[in-house]
Amino acid sequence: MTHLWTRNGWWVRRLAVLPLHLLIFALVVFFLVKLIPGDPVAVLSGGQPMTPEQYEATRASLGLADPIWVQLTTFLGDAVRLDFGNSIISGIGVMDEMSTRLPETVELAVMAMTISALLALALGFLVVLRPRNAVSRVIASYARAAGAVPDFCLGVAGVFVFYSVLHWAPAPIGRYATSLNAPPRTTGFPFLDALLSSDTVLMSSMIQHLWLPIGVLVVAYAPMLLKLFIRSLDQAKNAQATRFRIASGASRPMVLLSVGRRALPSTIAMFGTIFGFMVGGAVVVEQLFAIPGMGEYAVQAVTRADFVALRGFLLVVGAVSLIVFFLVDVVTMSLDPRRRPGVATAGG
Amino acid sequence: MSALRSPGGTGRWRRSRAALALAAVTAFAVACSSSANNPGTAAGGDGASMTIVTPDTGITWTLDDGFGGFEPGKNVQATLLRKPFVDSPQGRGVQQQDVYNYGPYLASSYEVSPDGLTYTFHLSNAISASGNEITSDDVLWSYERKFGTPGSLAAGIMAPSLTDPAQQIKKIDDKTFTITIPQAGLGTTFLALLSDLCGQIYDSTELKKHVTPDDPYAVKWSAQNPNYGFGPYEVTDYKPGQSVTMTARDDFVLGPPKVKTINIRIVPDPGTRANAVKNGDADLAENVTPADSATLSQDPNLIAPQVSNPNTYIMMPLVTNKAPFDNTLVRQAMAYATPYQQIIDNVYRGLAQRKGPGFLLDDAPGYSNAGFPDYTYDPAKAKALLAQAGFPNGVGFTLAVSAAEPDVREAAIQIQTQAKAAGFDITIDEMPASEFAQQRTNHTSQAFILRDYAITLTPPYELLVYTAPNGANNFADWYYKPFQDALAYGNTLPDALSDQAGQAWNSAEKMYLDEAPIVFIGQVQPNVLVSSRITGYAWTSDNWIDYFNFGTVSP
Amino acid sequence: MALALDTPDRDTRRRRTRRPGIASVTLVPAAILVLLAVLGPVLVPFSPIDVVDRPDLPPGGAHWFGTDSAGMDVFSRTIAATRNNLLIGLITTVLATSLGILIGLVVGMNESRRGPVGTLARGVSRALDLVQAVPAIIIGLVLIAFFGASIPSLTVALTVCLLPNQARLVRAEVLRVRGEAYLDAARVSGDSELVLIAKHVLPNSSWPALENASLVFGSAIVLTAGLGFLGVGLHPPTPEWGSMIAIGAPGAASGRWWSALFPAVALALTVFAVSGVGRRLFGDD
Repeated sequence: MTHLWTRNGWWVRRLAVLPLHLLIFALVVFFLVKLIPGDPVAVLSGGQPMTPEQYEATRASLGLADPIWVQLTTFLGDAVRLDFGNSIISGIGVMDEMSTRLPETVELAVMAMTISALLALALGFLVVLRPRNAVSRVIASYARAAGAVPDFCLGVAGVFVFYSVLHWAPAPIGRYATSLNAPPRTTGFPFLDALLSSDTVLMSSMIQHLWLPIGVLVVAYAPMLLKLFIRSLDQAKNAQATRFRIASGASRPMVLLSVGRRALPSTIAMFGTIFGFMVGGAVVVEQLFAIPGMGEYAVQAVTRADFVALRGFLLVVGAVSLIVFFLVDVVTMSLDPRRRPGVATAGG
Repeated sequence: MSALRSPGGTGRWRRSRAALALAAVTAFAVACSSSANNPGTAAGGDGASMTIVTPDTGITWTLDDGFGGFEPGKNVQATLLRKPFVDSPQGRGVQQQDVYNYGPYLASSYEVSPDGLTYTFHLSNAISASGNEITSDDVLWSYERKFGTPGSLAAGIMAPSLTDPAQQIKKIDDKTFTITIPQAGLGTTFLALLSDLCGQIYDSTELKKHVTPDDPYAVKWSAQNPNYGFGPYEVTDYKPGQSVTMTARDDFVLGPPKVKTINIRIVPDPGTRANAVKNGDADLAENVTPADSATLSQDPNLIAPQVSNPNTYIMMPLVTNKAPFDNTLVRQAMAYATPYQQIIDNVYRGLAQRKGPGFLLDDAPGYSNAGFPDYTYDPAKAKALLAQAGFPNGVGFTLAVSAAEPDVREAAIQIQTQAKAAGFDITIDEMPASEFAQQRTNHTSQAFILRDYAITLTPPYELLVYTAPNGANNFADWYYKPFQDALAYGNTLPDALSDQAGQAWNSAEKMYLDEAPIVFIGQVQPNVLVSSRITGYAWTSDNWIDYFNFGTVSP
Repeated sequence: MALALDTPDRDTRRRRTRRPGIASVTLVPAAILVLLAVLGPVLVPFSPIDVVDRPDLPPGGAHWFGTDSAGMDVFSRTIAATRNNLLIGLITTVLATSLGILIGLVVGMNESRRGPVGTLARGVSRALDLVQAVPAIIIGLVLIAFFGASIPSLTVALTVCLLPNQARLVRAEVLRVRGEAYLDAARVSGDSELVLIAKHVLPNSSWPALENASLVFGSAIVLTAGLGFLGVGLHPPTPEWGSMIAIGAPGAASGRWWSALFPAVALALTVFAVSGVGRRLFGDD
């Protein structure tokens, strides 16, 4: 029993305090949103005249007339019950919007990041194992270009070339053709739902619509992973542990596996960062391809001083990010047990 | 099948072979019992359909809970009166509203008492989307809701014509009611208001089913359930931030709409919207940049509508409550330092016009815009005025601009460059739309630049809309007693569109322009792009498109 | 024993990267950039902040890179923006990377300790998670609303946004290095903890952050554009690549490619140059 605890305690403890971190995050969110400039009543009035009484009544109806600690406790109480209120502009429940937009965004991020990660893995090994190969050199300089070309440049260029000129892609409007019905909602992830209902028409329409945006994301973000991965593979390859394995006659796949295992952690940390970013901030691709998602929601909320929507958005994105970071730590530390906090304590 | 798909959709399948091949691979990989998607409910029934691409305007289904994107909502609602459409001088099926005529709609007719104070309305037999026929109770209850909900705009918009509906509106019988207004001279504006947003009447029978103690007028319910109106369409599918599908109501009071299905798609990128119409993937794009409009209007398959008197103005309020614009001479200097024609040419590519320095539409009966100051770009004169005001070495100020409007930012840059010659050193402060709204309401910045319009187009309304004392909409925070007196005098005259009233509006507006709290730069044409397959695009004073007027050109 | 004190990873890397010819070549683009940043305002043919001609003129004639949608000269603006963008990008990169390494080191070395120091380190680690969980645009919005739109405030905002990832990358490596045998050997031979960190942990764990530095530079510019898009960037028409690209991009979809393309190329070249300097300084390749 104690053995089990010492081996697993490090992640169980992290998991146990996750709700506490979320609560702290909710506090931060409350005050952060208060600091964002903009008066929701001014937006609501649309510039139409309002008497001072009307103004006060509107403020009160938004709960803004209450003392700040009442607002805070109401917000925290509601948040605990997963009630994020209604958008002050559209009147639609923030939770309702989140529950459709989050899976849609996450699905897109998972698709793009899975391809990026596989690409980074394969290309990384190629570059490190065959450094003199011409293809490897091209790939290595592509990796070095990480961050050089912003995703919105790639997106605009992609739309221009593949839609306006070549007509290989359909109009960059949504996930599937306007005329088609949405899949029956089972999981909330559109492609998965289409797959589950075996709706091949819808699926092929989705593939036609999504290959370009996903391609843009992959081309923009894969080099960020690749760059780090090549570097850490290189380092792991030359480390003592590798020499030891080669010297002790381990098979080539075993050596590669060991190298990969030791090289992955920093790339995984980067993966977590990019994934978290895509969930909350892939606004550009969402806007360019009219795929409504989380980022677009946040931009609209900021533009309209919709503090209720913004708080809900931040809480959801924060929760997802914290979970992703937690998973990243768990995966990193499982791949390379030296990185676990507990080990060092035990070792002195 | 093809009739159900959006126009242009059929061609796309052929074009994107690469993607199809990819799709085929997946389809094969799935290899389950392949059931086809069955488009039908989402795309609506038979008949003509059209696709509109629009930015996310914050679609709002209820007027009474704050301002938002009202266009789809407007088309499920109907107003008591309506302003008829006439052909635009541009031709090609483009129409415009005759804003000085108030014809029957939900009210089939009305009479005015001899003193001009009491209007008696007779209701039509319109049926709502929920199936109830309109009655006077709907009217009374609708106005009770409009004036009783916090955050509702009606009270601010309808003053001074209608301030207390409980006292002013009286039910005679199920189909007849009267409204009494305080001054006969307000009558024209009052009728115009009943033809605009605030004239919408709701199905109270339906709404009352959803009333709760917290929500006595079912405002919260109606924010998410749009089909409580008497308008030409009903909403059959709504995905917030994504799409709206609207289906024609064949029992609509003015007859069945010609376009049976309207697909509204939210497309945030302006370039994509313009391209979608150009490539036949959509029939109408809203909020297109002037550069795209000007380029694409050369295409014979596309129309960039132009009307004789668009009511959208680009304007620059100079806030009078602080230096340097607390000085009238500095404001006048700015009016001479603004490059009007350059903004019309460079920013709006000719899709704007300047018919004089004022804000009142020059076609109002009885009104004339003669005798106003001739504000043109004249840096020497501006410099002289600045020197006279005590700024011989020029003066600097901050010009606030909303990040949501790229054309306005470009206009600000034109002004910044050209006003240097007159001695103005302008800092352009770009900010999020929400902060801009706050600063505008609180008159924080030294100057603003924005595009805006008055929905109700009668001279007294236009004169008051940006000058109401202490109002949030008084952009320049300007109060000038002689002007208010002149406006009040005009309102005492019995008919706002008479020659006598026209002279009163002219002299009031002259003071408005001499004092120059707002530099009116020009009238901007509608920023939409329409496929020539569609007829009946009509400019309306609220700049929300009336879908009922649409038709298709038969091939 | 003496051999064990050597830090093997770093050693192998050093040996491989002594290629003087190539190394100095990588510095040429960076030198040109610095020169442009210093001399740019003198070199430009037109005022970069004024309307100088008709809008949307294609490249050629008087305007080598054409004019943008407002009628400003794209060439002059692209050159004049070098100074602003190098300032924003470099300061952000240096601050985010050095602070990230520092925080990553401190957190990584102390995270597993008992007592207040360990608690604090774990707290900082989680706080980084929290900061990173807030989308960068929101952080930028709040900070810039507070301090006003200027290059210093923008730099601070961008640093706050980009620092957590750098710290996280370093921390992940520190946790690995911490357990290496050569550290124990150094401890046994009497090195103090501070010397230990400086001599062994820092060189072996800061590389991911350094590798990532050119990406931080690019991200800083892209985020500047994102903030400008919301209206919290530098005052228009300050020449700055990010906002030039963001403003020009919608036009590019309709064929007016020049006002977005040239600043995008400038940005790409700069990121390449910065990554070249990185490789030269830290011997990465």
